[in-house]
Amino acid sequence: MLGVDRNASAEDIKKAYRKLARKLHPDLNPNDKEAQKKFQELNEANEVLSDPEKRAKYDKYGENWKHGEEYEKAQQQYRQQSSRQQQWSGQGGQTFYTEGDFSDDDFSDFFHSMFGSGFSRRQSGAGTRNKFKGADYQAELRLTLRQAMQTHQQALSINGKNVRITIPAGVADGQKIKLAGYGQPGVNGGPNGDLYITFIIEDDPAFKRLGDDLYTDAVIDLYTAVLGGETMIDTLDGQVKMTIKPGTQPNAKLRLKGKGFPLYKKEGRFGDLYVTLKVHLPEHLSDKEKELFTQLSKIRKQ
Amino acid sequence: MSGNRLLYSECLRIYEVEESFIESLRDVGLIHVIDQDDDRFIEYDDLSDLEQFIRWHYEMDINVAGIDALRHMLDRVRSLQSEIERLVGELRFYKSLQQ
Repeated sequence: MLGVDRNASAEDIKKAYRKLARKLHPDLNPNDKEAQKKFQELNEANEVLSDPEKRAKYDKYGENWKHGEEYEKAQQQYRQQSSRQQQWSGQGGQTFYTEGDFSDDDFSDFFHSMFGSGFSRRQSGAGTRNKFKGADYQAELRLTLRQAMQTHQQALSINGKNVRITIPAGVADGQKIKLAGYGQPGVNGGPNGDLYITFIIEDDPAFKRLGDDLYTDAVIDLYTAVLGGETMIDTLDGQVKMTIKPGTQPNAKLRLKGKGFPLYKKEGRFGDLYVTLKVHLPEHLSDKEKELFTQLSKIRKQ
Repeated sequence: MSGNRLLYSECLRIYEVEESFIESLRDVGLIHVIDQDDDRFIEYDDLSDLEQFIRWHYEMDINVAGIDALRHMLDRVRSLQSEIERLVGELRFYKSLQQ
């Protein structure tokens, strides 16, 4: 991983580590899970190469680590620990991960099994900086389109603490909010890290959203399209009655002003709703209907 | 320490960094140091950034000019990433209209 030979000096290892860290560090690769994984491997390699005791242990078990009895035992322990570490829960499909700085949890199973869960990258090789503020957490919160259109509260369980957050109506897909102090606890009296929540707005079967506008389809029958009339159209907050002009073509678009999505933090203001009219043609005609349609078609041809 | 800020001297002690490093960060505008009465403080809100710069400098050997440039590039990367996300969302919307 580090690309150094067996007899590399501590200084060589440090240099090689820093060179790769500049490429792979999660600080410099935002939202890149692959880089995060590689950086983890880099730290593991660095940890081993920088510590003679671990180096010896790795040489002894390294090659067949998956089959060793010691590995099995350690794996079991690790699994028990990780189940205790599953502290995130709540509604609406949240996932949490850390970015930036690393805790013990960021090491792979292999290293936990080899060196136990007290294994830390901040022991040798790379600089050993003191921590003060806790690491920030990144989380995703999934909302349905209908949830996102109303200002509402959600209860989250963060590290065993119940937190109620208010989500303003009109939140956008991918929008991020910061909850100060809900990240990893600080060390040595330092402040807690922050929690960043990214909202993922799920697609709705009936309404599509683009910015603050909504798009939907409505079906009218042939006679309403041809002769005009009225039809009820579903909006996100109930039905509205609409007038259909005579001679309305299939896929004609209507705009319902102010019936779209609420504007974020602009109470009382809404986008528009665009309705595409689908015209349903009559099927399974009776003899009488066929006769009348034939007559109609003859009138048109004349 | 006072409220949501950290005494400058405490900051140097906790992070074990040289004053000249923080001063250089301040000179290029990457960190705010607040002078109040006879004390100097760093806001808690700036600590995540500061810790990041400390990692870049002491673990990756990046100097302050490099940190300044990187910070700028990272802001660009983040804004491009969100632009891409927005465009992907829009593309998904237009594709869904065709179905």
